[in-house]
Amino acid sequence: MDLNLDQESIDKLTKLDESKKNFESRFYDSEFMGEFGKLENARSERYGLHYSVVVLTVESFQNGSVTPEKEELMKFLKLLITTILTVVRNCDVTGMLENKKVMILLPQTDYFGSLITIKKLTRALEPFTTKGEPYASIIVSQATFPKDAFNFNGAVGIASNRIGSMKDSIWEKLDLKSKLFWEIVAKLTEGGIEGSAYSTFDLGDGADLEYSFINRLNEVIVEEVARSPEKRGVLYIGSRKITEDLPFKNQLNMLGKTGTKIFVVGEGKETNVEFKNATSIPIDDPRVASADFTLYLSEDAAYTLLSKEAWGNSFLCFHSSDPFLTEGLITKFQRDYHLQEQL
Amino acid sequence: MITKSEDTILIALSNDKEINIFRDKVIDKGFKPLTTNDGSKAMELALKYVPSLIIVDMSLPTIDGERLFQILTHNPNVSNVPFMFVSEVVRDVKGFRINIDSFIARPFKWDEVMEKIKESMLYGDTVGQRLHKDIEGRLSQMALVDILQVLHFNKKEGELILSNNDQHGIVFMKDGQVYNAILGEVEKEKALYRLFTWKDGKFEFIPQRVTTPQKIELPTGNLMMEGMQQIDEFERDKDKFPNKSSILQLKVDSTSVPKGLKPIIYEVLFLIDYYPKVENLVDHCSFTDYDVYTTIIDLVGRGVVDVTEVSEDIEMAELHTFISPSDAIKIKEKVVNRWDDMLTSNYAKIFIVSVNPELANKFILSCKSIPDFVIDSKLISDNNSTRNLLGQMGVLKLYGGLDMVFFSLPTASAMGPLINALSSNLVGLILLWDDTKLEWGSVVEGLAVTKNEILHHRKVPFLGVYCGENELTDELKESYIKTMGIEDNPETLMTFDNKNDESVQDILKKFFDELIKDKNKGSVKV
Repeated sequence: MDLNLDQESIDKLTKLDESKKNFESRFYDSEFMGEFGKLENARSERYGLHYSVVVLTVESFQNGSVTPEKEELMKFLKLLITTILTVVRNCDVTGMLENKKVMILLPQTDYFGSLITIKKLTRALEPFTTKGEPYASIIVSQATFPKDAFNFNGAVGIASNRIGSMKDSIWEKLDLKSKLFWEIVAKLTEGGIEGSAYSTFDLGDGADLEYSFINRLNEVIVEEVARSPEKRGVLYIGSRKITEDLPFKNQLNMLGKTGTKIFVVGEGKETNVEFKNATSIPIDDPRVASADFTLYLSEDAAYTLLSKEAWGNSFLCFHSSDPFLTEGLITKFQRDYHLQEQL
Repeated sequence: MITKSEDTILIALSNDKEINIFRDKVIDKGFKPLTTNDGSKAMELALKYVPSLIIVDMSLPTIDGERLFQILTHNPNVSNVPFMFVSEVVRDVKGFRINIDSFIARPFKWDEVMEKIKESMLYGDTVGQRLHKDIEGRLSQMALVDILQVLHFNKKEGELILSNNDQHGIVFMKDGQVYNAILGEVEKEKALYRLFTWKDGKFEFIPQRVTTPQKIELPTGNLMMEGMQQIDEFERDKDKFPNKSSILQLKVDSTSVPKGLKPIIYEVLFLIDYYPKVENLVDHCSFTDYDVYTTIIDLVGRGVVDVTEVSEDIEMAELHTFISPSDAIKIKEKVVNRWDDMLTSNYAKIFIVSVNPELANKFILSCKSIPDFVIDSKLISDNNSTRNLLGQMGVLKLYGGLDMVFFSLPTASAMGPLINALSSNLVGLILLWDDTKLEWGSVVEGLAVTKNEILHHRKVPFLGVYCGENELTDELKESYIKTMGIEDNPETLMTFDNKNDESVQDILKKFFDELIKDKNKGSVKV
């Protein structure tokens, strides 16, 4: 069911008083957002700062027997906006971008900072997206200056365009967000998922690649972190068991301080194994010992590798460079095991 | 090596007539001019001579004035040099520093221009005086260890700049801890301990925010104790050490060395193959000078390594550079343009994709003839990785502090996502192939698929290199060109001769020429 409001209604949402600072006093119209965005862009350019733009798009209503009345839609949007305003920081600027789209400008916020806001928003908007009569399908996307765009309009454009990429992501297409971490791992390692950002391959006996390729791959990812120590990121390496002789331990020891938080995950109640630049996470769940996984998300790159034993000494692997999938899996993993959120 | 030049003004303008007028006027006022009409040359001169003022045209060829400003202000050696921008109209310059930089518009009012130059020069005739300096003096009056102690106890943050004749070093301090030290191409403890040996020279401490990553982790107190101890021991043992120009040779097979020895032994043994000269080996080894020298004499004593004295003539023959400083600057500029946030990044990646791992090993090993090329010991010597090479194989260190990382990718199918994830800072692609008869068609087709996969994500220049033992026939060449779909661009195919050291140099020179000419901005946003 599509959500459509006429211009008069949009104006009502954004021009409830003369000062443009209307609706709960902190919700602005698109004209103000455009002007403020240009100023923020100029400021960031001059002082070499980041800023991010988050766009929330209300796609459609998923249930409800009848088309909601205009008044109902207005009530829904007002509630939505009020919720958004409770999540954002005082320095963030929230306003209408166009019909169905709300924009938040996050001053001095980099890619990872904007992901934190998206996480908070997603959690706060859960009542709107999973319950209610009707409940809405809301897609949240982002773009960061200067990583993604050279100016404000470019950043807004990139954030809007990413909605398309998000819809194309298997995270949305296969509705993975409604599944648990290990359900997703099982689904993805079944095979049959192909695309420019996804593939499956075999490891071990009879395959082109040996099992040791996974170890090498983890070493290479840690080396990637070492090459750009100032870049922010998060890396989870699931290595079945946490042992002293994990092959990437040398790389971790040589790493030094980085902006990437690294975690080594393995099955067990506790572990005495310590890594110099990473945190060990023992998890008392036999499923952890049944698969290797690597989840790496940084300002520049995203990579997911999931590997499960197929038969004998052969392994079926799924890997992907889809940032939405990687971010989703990291969030699922943290939530399912009640880990500290790191994004 | 950088030479700090007092009273020197760098004049970088696009118009030669204007350069001449500026030069004459600057000489009249008693300053020494350095002139150029090219942005890359201007950068080279600025880094080499560290002038007291840079007068720069906004529209310079190769690197424009604004870009030059942004690059140089990110270089710790020249970040404090004031800029005077020249243009038709006053323009907004990103990062413009009020009260430090200035702007003059054409046509020039010479009285006003000279007044501004004098004002800029009045702030001080040496780099760093523009910013407030907490401490300055000579090392003959106060040793580096004492200075570091003062800074340590006062929990200072900033840069301690040291200069001695034509050598310059920087020690980065944060919260009173030594974060890193740089001396020429050397950094970390190795650089700091070398700086400890300076008996004379100037020092100045500039308090400012330090953003460099922490590369020295030892607490400053321990660091100083360790450094002084190493210097004392070096002095005590120096007569036992081989001289700098001696040549080392392995007397045993390095693979037969037992496991479990100190890491420095493996590194020294590996490096001897590539840097047989003692001086080069000491420079390229990551351990401190004293540790390297003691390891060498230990290995010599055990009969593992042989030392031979070498004449000065041979030394001189080695003094040539592979990529000229101006080309290195052009390459760096290309890299910066390609990757928008590369101002803070110091590396670029070249993917090596080979139809078989032996070719990649052969190609990279032949790069040892190139000055400043460092081969990665792990991947080359790691037998486990011979089936599918993945990772860094070598690094070419270019003038200006840019590392060109040669990174091998596996040719196994379905590697697209991995390639995409690893392509940060990618600037080029080198494809290696030979005349292997067995399934030649499908092997080269696989290479073409990998090439297209990479170019789909990043538009970068690429070069195909034939590495076969036999001469490349016209038939094979045509077949390759057709399979790779490069009928419009057949000159991207070159031949590698493993027996000729210059062959790999010609290939890389051609590659860097392609990179300099390349107009693509190949960064794809995910």
